[in-house]
Amino acid sequence: MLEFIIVPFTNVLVFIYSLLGQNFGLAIIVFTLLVRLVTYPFNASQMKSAKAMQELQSNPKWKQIQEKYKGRENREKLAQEQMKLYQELGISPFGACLPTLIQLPLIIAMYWAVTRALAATPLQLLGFARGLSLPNAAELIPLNSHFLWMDLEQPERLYLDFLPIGIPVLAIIVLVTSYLQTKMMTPANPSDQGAQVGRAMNLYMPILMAYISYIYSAGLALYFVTTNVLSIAQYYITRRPTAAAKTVVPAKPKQS
Amino acid sequence: MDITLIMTIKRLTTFFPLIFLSLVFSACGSAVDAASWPGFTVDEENGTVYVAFNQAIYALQLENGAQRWRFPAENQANFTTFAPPELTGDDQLLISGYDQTLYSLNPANGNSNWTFAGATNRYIGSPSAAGGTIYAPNSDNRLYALNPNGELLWTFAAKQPLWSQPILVAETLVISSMDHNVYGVDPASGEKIWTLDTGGAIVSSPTLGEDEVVFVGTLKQQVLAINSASGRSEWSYDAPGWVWGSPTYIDGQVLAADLEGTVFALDAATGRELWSVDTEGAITGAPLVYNNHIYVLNESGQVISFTLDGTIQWTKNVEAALYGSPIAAGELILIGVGTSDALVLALNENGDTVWTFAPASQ
Repeated sequence: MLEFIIVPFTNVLVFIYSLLGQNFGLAIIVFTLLVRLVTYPFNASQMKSAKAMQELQSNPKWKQIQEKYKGRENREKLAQEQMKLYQELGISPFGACLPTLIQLPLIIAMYWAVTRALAATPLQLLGFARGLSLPNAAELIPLNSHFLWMDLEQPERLYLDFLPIGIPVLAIIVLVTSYLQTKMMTPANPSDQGAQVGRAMNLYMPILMAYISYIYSAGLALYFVTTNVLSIAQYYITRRPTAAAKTVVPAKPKQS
Repeated sequence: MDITLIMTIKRLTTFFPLIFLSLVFSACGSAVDAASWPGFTVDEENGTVYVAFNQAIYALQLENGAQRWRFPAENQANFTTFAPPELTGDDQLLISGYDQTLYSLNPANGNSNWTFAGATNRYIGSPSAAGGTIYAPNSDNRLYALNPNGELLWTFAAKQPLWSQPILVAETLVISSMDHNVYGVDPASGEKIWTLDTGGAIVSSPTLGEDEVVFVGTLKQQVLAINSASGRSEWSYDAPGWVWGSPTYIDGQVLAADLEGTVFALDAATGRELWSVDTEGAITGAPLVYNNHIYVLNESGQVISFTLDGTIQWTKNVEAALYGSPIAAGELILIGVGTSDALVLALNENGDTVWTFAPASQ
C-alpha cells in the first residue's frame, strides 16, 4: 500500500547505515531524527494545538460553559458554545489531529523501513534486497544488527552476571517515554469526556508500546525510544504561552 | 461543519495511537504469512517425503501424498520450521526450528528423540549429518557440532548468520556464511582451516563437484568454484543477478539461476558460460536435473522444464509464487507451493499433476 514511501525510506536508511560505519543502531537514530526534522512543521503545529487545548481546560469561560450546559440533554448546546469559544480564541479543534494524519504515512513507512532492513528470514531478506537500489547494496547485506549490548534483530535484554534473567531495558524506557509523551498531549480537566478517554490512553498506550518493544525486535524498540524522546524534547522546546493561556492568567494589579 | 460531527471526530482522534498501531501491524503486512517456503527431504526407500512448512513437519506417502504423521500433532505457538529436514544414517530426522531449537524425530512416527536448545537464534538452514556428527548452522552466527544424542561437541563462530547447510568434503567441513565468507573448518575440532571472502552474502549451501571443488552462488552476482582443501578460488562467473540458490553440478557442468530469472550453464572446469535462458520471474532455488532434463521454479509461478542444452520444453503455471528447489522423488517432481490450497504439488515428467497435498486446517 505504501511501497512508494517505504522503498525510498529503506534506501535512505541503508544509505545512512553505510555512511555511519555500518552501525544500524546509529542509522535508526539518525534516520528518525531526519524524518522528525522534515516533519517538524507538522509536529510543531500539533503540539501547539495540544497545548492550547490543555490550557483551555483551565479557562474560566470554558469552565462556565461546562457548568452551565451539564447533562445529556444539553450536549448539542454545549458543543455549540465550545465551538464559539474555539473561534473566539483562535483554536482549531482539528489542530492536533490533522498534522498527525498527514504524517501517518511517513510514520508507518519509517516503521516498515526499520523492520524490513532487519530482514531475519528468507522472504524478508528477499523483499528487502529487491527494494534496494544502492549500487553497493550487495556489499552491505546483511546489515550488521549489533548495537551496544543489543542484537537489533532480537528482542532486547540486558544480561548481568548477578541476575538470573535479562532486563528489558529498552521496553522499560519505551514505557516511561511513552507515558510522558501521552501525558503531555492530554488535557487535564476531569469533566471533559475527551480528557477522560485521554487519561485512559495514558495508562494503556505506554503498556502496549512497552509490550511490543518487549516481544519484537530491539531495532523497533530503539525507533520507539528515539521518536518518543524527540517528541518530548520538541514539546519542551516549543513550549510558549498561547492565546488560551493568556486569557486564563489575569494581569497582576500594580502595587503602589 | 456540523457540531456533533466535529465532536465525534475529536473523540475518535483520541484513539489515534491505537488506530496507528493497528495499521502498522496489520495493513502493510506481506501477502505471504510464512517467513519462508516449504523444504523437502525424500526417503525413497520408505516411500516418504518429509515437508517442513510453517508450523509443522508433514510425513507424506510418496505414492499418493497421503499424510502419515505430522509434528507437532497440533500447532504450537512458538514452533515454526522451513528448512528441509535432514535424515541421518542412524535413523533420525533432524528439524531446524525457528524457536532456536534443533529437534531429532523418529522418522517412522514423528516422535521426539531429543532436542538441542543451546542456540540463541533461529535455525534457518538445514543441519547436516556426516561422520557420526551433526552440524547445525544457526542465525546466531554459530555452527553447532553435536554428537548423535544431541550433546554439544564444539561451536564455530562466523561474523554473521549461517543460513546454509554445511557439506563435508574429505577432511574439510565447508560452510558458506551471510558474512560474505566461505569457511573451511576441521570437522573434528571446529578449528578454522581457511577463509575465502567472496564479497557478497551467501544464502545457500555449497555444491560439491569433482576433485574436491565446491561451487557457491553469492548475492554479489557471482558463482565461484573453490578448492575445498586450500580455500582458493578457481574461477568466478558474473551472473546477471543475485545468485540466491545453490548451483547444481552435473557431468562437468554447473547449473545455476539468479533473482533476475536467468538460468545458466557453466563449464565446471573454467567457469565459461555454455548457455543462458531468461525466465519471467526471480529464481531462489537450485535447478533440478532429473532424467536428462532441468527443472526450475520461479516467483511468477512457473515450473519450467529445459533440455540439457537450455531449450525450454514445457512451462506449467501455478497460481502462486514459487520459491525454493523442485525435488525428484521416484517418478515424481515435487514442488513446494505453500498456499492453503496446496502445500505440495507432485508432477510427472510432462508437468501433469499427479497429486496435491494441502494440510488440514487447525
